[in-house]
Amino acid sequence: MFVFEANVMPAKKKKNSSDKPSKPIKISAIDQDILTVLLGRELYGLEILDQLNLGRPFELRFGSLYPALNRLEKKGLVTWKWGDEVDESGGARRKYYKVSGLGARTLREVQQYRAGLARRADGGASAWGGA
Amino acid sequence: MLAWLGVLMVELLHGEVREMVFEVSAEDKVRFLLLDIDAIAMLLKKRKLLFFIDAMDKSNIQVYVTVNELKKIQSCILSDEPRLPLINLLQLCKVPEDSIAELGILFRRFKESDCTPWILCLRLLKEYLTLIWVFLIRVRIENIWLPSGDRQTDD
Repeated sequence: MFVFEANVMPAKKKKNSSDKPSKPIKISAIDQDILTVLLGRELYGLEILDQLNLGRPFELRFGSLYPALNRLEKKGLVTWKWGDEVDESGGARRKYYKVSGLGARTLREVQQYRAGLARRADGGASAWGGA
Repeated sequence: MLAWLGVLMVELLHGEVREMVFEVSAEDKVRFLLLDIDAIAMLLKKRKLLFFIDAMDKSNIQVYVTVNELKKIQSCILSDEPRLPLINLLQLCKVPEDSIAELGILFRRFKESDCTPWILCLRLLKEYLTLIWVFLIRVRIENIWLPSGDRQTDD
């Protein structure tokens, strides 16, 4: 599993960000996907799965989603709130997740890293004759 | 004050369906009037049940219940607290409320996809067992080294 270490300060240590070096936050590929899907909107579990599984070669299920959401929540990358009780789920409430500020920054760092990686790869390919 | 009546269906895995009346309060709580539920449990012996609660407002819960759990439910019903909130009933399944809600929606989708009841039961059972594994084992192990952040928002 690919793990990216974003150079972003965790929320807990934000007060001392000028004093101490920032601690990287590790996020996996699934974590990145979930953050990307949640960017700018609030979704519950099945909606996240629906978005993630569009065109995905291997279908993601609850067994992958919930541990990832738990990780992201514990690291402060996502927040959640209870939705209203809905009839179709028998009165049980759903959790609506959204990306926190820290999560958005972390994701941006990952995306910048990937963009830089792609540029370097393109440059390397050009140097070898565009192969 | 009771708002309306609904129908409780106990559907066995082999497809037999029994219907009984229950009352639902205005606070969305269920009061089971099924004092003969023990007779059903005896009838079914150790067979697992797929429990459907179909209400008139289209609320729908699906829970896998063993006979032992059924007896727990019955003891709740017969104890001093006659009203059993739906969520309490669901928590007997050891899975968080939000996951039960997701399972409910998933069940609706499966039903709309016209798959056979047997396939539907298997898929739900698989998802349920997955959730049990995730929340009782995997998440607890991972939480050992994860920071203890619980970032619920109230907005």
